[in-house]
Amino acid sequence: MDNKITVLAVDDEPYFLELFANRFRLRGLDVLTASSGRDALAILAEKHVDVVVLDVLMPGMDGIETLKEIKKRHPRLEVIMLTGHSSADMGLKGMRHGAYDYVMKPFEIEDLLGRIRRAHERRRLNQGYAGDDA
Amino acid sequence: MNPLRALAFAPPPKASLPRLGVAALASGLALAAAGLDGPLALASALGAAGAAFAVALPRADAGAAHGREARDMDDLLIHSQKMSVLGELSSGIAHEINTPLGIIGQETELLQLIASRSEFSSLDSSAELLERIDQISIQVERCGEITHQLLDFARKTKAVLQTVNLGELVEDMTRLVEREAGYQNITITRRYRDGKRTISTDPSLLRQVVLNLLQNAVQAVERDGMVTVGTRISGQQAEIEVTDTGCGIQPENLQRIFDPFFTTKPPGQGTGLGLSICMKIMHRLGGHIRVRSSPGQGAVFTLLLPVAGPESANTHDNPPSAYQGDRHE
Repeated sequence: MDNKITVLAVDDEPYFLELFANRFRLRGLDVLTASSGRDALAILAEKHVDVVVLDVLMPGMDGIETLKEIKKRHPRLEVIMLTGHSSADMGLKGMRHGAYDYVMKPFEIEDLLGRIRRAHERRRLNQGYAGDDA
Repeated sequence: MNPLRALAFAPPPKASLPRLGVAALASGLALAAAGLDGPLALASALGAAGAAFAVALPRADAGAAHGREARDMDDLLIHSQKMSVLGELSSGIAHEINTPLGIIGQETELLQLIASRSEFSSLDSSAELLERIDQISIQVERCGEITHQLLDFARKTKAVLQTVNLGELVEDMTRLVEREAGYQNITITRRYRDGKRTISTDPSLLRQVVLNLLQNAVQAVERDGMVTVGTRISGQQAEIEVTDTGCGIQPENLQRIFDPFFTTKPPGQGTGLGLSICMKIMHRLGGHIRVRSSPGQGAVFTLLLPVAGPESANTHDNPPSAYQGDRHE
């Protein structure tokens, strides 16, 4: 079994995506990028992804809405929310809609890498179960 | 108020009829009436249903010591039946409401597109038109959050166990509330002991509970006060404690704060499901929630968790004992 983790990064900021992809590829992850929620859903429909790293604030379909759609279509896909500023309300909303973790920007790369690995571990642990909310 | 509703909201008779039957009847009427009134009445109707069931239940502390154990067992049984009926009711209604709600949402999106076309955008009242349509979509979103919480309440949450650093998990959630708390001049004090130790639990479920308690604490303080967050491990038990200097909880409410649909917030500002979902999650994690409070003196919420995970605690679906504030699932 291929142990390489595939991450999909979703953010409306192209420079951020490029930097994210470079930094995490250097650390051995496969990185796909999407510049909007709709883009992300289209990629998820076609490709295998282990963990999604999702920006909360995006124009059009925002992070929470994207999270809801992702969880509806892929209930066992783990999602880490990224946010520019702390908001307990938004955080709780994210958790209630099944986000695995909630990380504030700017993030430390090793810290986020650890969280991505734990999200991936959870997905593997979860694979044996039958989903009740698919 | 329509007659169906008035009847449903009337207090059920004390002991003349089988109480659960009355509760079920009252709940059914409230819900039927809510159906007539539209989806916005849903939350309050469910609140009435929850209250009716709660009234129908004899309290664990009502009896004398004699025969108490048997009564506790009965209470637990009735309680778990009550929860499962409420769960089914909630999810059934949430599913039914979600479909029309989705259609209203989509139609609103279409209206927004149409109203932005040139033939409408040149009208004097175009700004107002758009504003009103926006308001519809905001309210649809709100209904969506309510139905989501209802489904959340009914869902059998699965725990996926991972090794979790206790202090790190709590600190992540504390940082999320800290900035907003700062705006209201609320100081957050940390008292992490054994914060570097790890426990076996479901991190995303536990995060939801910790964040919910922190947010409640900040809301209880309102302004100018303190929220203290502590962690500790003693023996095989991990504790996370959230203390606030808010207004405290009235003794008569203390027994009910974990009841689903119970809320002291003004209508429209809470479904009353937050703490009941928290309690449900904690039972799933093999733990529970303890609360202490005196009016005017703030409140202390303590999460108790088995260090080695739910299997070690042997309390999958049933609460460990029928004591105050721990009567869920």
